[in-house]
Amino acid sequence: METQLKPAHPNAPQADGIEILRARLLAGLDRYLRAAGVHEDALRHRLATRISSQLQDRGLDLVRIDWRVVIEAVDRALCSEYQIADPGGEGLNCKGRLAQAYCQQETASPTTLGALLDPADGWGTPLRNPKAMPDQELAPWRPKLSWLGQSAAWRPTQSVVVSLCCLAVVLVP
Amino acid sequence: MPQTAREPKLPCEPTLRRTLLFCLVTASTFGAVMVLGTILAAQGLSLLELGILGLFGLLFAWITTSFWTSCAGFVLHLFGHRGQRLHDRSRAAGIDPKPSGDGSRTALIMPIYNEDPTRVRAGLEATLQSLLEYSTAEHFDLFILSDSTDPEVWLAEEQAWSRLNREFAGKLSVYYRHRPKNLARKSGNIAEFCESWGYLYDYMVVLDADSIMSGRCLVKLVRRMDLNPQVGLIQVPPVPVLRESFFARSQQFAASVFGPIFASGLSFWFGGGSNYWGHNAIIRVAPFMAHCGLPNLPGREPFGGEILSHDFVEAALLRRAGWEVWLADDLSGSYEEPPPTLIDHAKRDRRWCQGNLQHLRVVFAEGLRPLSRLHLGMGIMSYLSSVFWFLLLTLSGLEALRQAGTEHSYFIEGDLFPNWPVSYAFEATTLLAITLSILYLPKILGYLALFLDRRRLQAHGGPVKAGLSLLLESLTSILLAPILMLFQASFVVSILAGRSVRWAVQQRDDGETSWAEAAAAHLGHTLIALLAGCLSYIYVPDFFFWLTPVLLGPILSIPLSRFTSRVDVGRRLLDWGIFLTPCESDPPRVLRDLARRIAEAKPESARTSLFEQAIADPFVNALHLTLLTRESRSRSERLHLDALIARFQEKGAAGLTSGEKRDLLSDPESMSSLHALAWRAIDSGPSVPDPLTQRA
Repeated sequence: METQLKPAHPNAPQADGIEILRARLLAGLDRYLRAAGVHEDALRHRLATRISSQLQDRGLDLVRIDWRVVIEAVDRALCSEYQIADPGGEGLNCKGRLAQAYCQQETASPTTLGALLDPADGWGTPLRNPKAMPDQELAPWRPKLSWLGQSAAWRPTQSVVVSLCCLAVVLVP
Repeated sequence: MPQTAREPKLPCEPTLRRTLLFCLVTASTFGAVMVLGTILAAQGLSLLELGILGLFGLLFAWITTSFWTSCAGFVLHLFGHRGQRLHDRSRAAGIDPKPSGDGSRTALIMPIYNEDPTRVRAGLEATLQSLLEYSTAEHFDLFILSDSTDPEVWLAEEQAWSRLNREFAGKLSVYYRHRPKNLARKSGNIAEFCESWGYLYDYMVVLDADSIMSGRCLVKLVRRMDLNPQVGLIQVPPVPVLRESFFARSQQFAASVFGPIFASGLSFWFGGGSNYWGHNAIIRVAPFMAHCGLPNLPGREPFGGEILSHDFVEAALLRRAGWEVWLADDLSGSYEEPPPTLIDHAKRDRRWCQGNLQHLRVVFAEGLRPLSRLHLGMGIMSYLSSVFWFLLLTLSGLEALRQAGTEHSYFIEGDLFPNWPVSYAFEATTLLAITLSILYLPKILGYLALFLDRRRLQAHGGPVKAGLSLLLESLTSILLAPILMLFQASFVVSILAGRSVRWAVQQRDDGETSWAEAAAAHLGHTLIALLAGCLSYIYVPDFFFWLTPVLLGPILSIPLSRFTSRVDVGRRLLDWGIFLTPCESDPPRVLRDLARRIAEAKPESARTSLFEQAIADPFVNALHLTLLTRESRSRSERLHLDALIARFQEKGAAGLTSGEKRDLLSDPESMSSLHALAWRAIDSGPSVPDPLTQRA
């Protein structure tokens, strides 16, 4: 899949056409932001305009818009909007969209939002510190010759033998 | 945190108690075997009769153990001594207890596998809310450890986690981890948690998907662990609750009335050598990590491979390392949901049966404590006993047939006096009465124990309704016991024949059994019972009447299974106050909260599947992507994933199998690409596949 920004299309449209394409990008962004939960018109408009400008400054091909680039830009803009630390160029960064959704919840205050989404704490789980659990030995017990010499081992044996003798005394007659 | 095993000098009292139990069981069994031996040996013991005697002895010892356990529990309840043994034992043993509240950290862990995410979330919310009512909530974290393979369940779990995370933000940390492959099943899931995050915690409380624990119970467990540094694990007996079918309510009633005295008895006999039941237990993490790594057993399944019933083995390994394992019979606030129907009960039994029979490879492991071997042996015996019972009935039938074909000879050659037949009716009737007493006296003791606590008696509907419930429960168990015997005997045979079991998802809602399901499950039982009844009626009519209580259940098994699964019958009985339990008459706050949350959590009627939402919806996609771990893919894997993306674009989600969806969901690159493609398609206009445009 193509993910990098491309240079402007060789058959780039003329100025009037560019305006149409810009409007189309803005409409697409507006639709995406609304789907992402940005229901406030003014905020959505502001974000869409800012993202559109940033993308055009970076040379986004307006004819064949790479939506992967657009979505990354939306995430970055939302991160900036909600002051969530941006992990930078580490590939996927979707926390802008998460911050947007979390902010819609009354329970999420700016403090808890930062704590929840701070990349330093990991996300989903705390940081791992792997330490293997050693497999235990479950081999069956086998009598050993040395065992015969241990007096402690004789005691249960003696008990068993005495019990059997008692049973024999009762049963055999 | 103690890193090494320690064995405090304990008084010899537990040994005395266990010796007493051993003597009681041996003496009772010996007496019963002697009486039966006298009856059978009237004309000398044949091989057949020896077999009957041996099987009878084994089964009698089995039921007598439960009987004496209940008796001990009843006596403890009578004198109000339940659950007093673990308190402050560290002081008696001269060990410095950990001061309470000095920051011991506990992880509540819930391993799940394709469970209903709505129910999981509701249960966790209720547990956490209850926990927050206590001041030490900041010492607890929750981990949802998912092994789910169903893509829809996986995504629903992520959303459930996200809601929990937001609901408890700033109060309690809620974590979610999904394993792409469920290696070593539940024990592997827990082991992976310990290996990754065990370093952060002193204790972990293992919860099942249907577990509910009150905050008070959790805090008390931590307190006991703090005070008893020699204890590696404390199990709280889970009380079955919340189900409404006839079958489940009868089980709930039985557990509520007979369970407490039985648990007290177990705790009394075994003390610090008790057992672990797999959930609703607190475990000291460091010794668990050091001593409970489970190896694969040699050989192939069903006896070799991964250890299925890990709990008994883990308890045995902790004991081997010198740690104590306790049963906290006095703690309330630990709940689970029973299987709603007889067939679901049997399905769970099938899984447990294989797990327990697999312990045949573990029970003789070097270094295990005798008591641990006893626990493992009792687990094995709980399934083998059904086979022994079946064999005992068969051999008894053959013996009756042999006796019927033999005429008594009054004159023996060379003997002047006639050989009069001797009647052993008294001995036989006495033995039957004793056997029935041993089977049913624990129920009566449980009922009598209700009278020791007036509130508890009223919560069970009062003396009359509780008595009627006891009668109905006993009648139900008389009818169902032979059916379960046939089920379990067939499971043992199929396992011995080498057939393994899949790790199936447990039915956790009140789904009723249809006639077709009942017929498919019980037709064999009905035919076996009819055949046995016909043969005994034709050839040994006297034996037939002895056999009728055992035959009646299997003959009626199809309608019985269907009837006992009915929720409306269970609800009607609830209205009449039959099978009433305290959790129904006066539910604790945590259960009320759970019931409310379950009622509120109506399933969302989404137009598209969650898989499609994860592709098109910006939030669902982002949530999923952030929870994935990035793995490098080989070229062939990448080509496979690209082919799946192309097929999705062409045919939509319906063109992908569940496994293929899982492959795509596991790959962050693919999910980002699909999300971008979906929005490009949405942006391009109407000529795009439906699934992609619907969400926007």
